[in-house]
Amino acid sequence: MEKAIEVKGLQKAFKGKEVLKGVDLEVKRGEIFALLGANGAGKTTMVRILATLLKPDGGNAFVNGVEVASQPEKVRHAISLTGQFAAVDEVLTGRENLIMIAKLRHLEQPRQAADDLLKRFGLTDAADRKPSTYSGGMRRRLDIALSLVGKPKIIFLDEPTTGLDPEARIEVWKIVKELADGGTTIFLTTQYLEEAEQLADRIAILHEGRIIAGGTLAELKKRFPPSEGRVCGKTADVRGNLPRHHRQKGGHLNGNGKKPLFQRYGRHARTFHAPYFPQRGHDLHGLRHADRDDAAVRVRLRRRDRDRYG
Amino acid sequence: MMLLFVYVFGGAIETGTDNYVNYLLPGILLMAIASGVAYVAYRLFLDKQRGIIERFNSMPIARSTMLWGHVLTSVVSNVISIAVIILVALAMGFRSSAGILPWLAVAGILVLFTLALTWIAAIAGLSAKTVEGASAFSYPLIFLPFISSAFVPTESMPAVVRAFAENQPVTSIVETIRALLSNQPVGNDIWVALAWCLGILIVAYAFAVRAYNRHSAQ
Ligand SMILES: Nc1ncnc2c1ncn2[C@@H]1O[C@H](COP(=O)(O)OP(=O)(O)OP(=O)(O)O)[C@@H](O)[C@H]1O
Ligand SMILES: [Mg+2]
Repeated sequence: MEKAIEVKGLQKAFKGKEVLKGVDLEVKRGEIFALLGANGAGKTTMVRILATLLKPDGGNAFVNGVEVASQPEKVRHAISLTGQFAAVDEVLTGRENLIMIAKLRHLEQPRQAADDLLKRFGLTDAADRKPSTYSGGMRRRLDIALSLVGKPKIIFLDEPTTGLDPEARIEVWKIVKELADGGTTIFLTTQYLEEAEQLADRIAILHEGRIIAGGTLAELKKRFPPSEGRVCGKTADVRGNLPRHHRQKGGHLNGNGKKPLFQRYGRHARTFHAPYFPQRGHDLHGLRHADRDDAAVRVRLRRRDRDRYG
Repeated sequence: MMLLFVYVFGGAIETGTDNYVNYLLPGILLMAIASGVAYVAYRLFLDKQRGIIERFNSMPIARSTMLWGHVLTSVVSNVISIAVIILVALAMGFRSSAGILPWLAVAGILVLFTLALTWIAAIAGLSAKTVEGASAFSYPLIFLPFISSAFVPTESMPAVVRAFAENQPVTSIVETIRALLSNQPVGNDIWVALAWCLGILIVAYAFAVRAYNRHSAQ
């Protein structure tokens, strides 16, 4: 068996709303696979199906060579899930959390297993405190440690670094890399291209219910020329090319009330996190890609962008 | 709570029993259980919200492990608090002439009552949308003993209230425990009490399992 995960034509709808419209993907043994997608793209839905928590409406999913829908019990022996939010018990201490899971997994020396993981994740000093006293990064580490109890072959990490500060994020990246070096297959989801770039052997982009692009980082870069993640050009051009609901009055536009979608610098503007979300030649925000020549709007990709605008 | 009842109301209520602590104890025990099980709802709600249920469900263990774990914890902690309350009651003048068998019967009924309420709590915890929602279910439960023979004889109540009081589960359970502890004949009450406990237990269990499955697999 070469493939750790194989998904074909996977479909899932919630109350008539199609979330997955036929997803195909493959994950090889021992690799780090990143599923990249924006908010609400269906990443969690995907993970929940693969982790036997949700039944698909159509299509097939095999994990460790076993059909997920028909033999969930068997799949559960091979996998472990770290959900989008840290699933740790607040009443137990860090160590007790680990021991509990170790016992549930019928390990022979639950205490020993707990101590090893605490040490490996730098949590020995905090082991006898409750997770409510932990920092976000520590909770996430404990959460991942809980998933490693019993050495599962395949690990699902749903947005492992969302909400973490940069330092904690780098710590988690390190952990993930070490895991993969140890031979574990890792399926992770993320909203950040940077994270996928840092970690993944292969990346797939989930958009509007389908995988719209997939491959190694090098392959993706070839298909969608690098722009250092930014697009810039004349303010009017950049703005005029945004989807209508983003075209608000005033200089600083906010995508959805959170991060500014683009920023003005005099007559020039720069968008944030634009490319790598191609859809009919557009990125997620509706901006055209530079390699697509469009006379009306000359949005230029500039490598100098960073030097000029910081 | 016990202290308050005995000293504030103790003088005021004519019960026909010379020892009011004896009269009160069953009701106090039921109230303690009713407030004790609210914790299960709270814990289950948090487990659901934090994704702990999902973690368990993706592990190779039986799906019901999680629910039973909570339920048994609840029973054990309630048994402990009941023991403490009985010790306090003894210190305050509670005396029972009952032998081993009636005490065992009382223990059995209390455990059954705890189980029944715990499963109700499980439903609340699993289906609640907010923390407040998860524990709100217990208020009526804690209140039920007030409209029963737990603290005042039902004969003193207005007709409508009295009709309710005499036919709700708490009264029969209280009467049974009271009779058992004072070595009186228990009559029909014990069967009514058992029927209530078992009935609630079975229905609540079925709904809790359903709520759990609905939450964990679509
Ligand atoms: N149980 C459910 N019932 C109804 N709709 C759901 C359910 N779960 C998810 N959805 C919907 O499916 C879509 C995809 O959700 P999903 O959680 O998989 O996205 P996501 O990519 O994980 O997003 P995020 O980055 O916010 O975590 C959303 O529009 C969501 O509202
Ligand atoms: Mg998600």
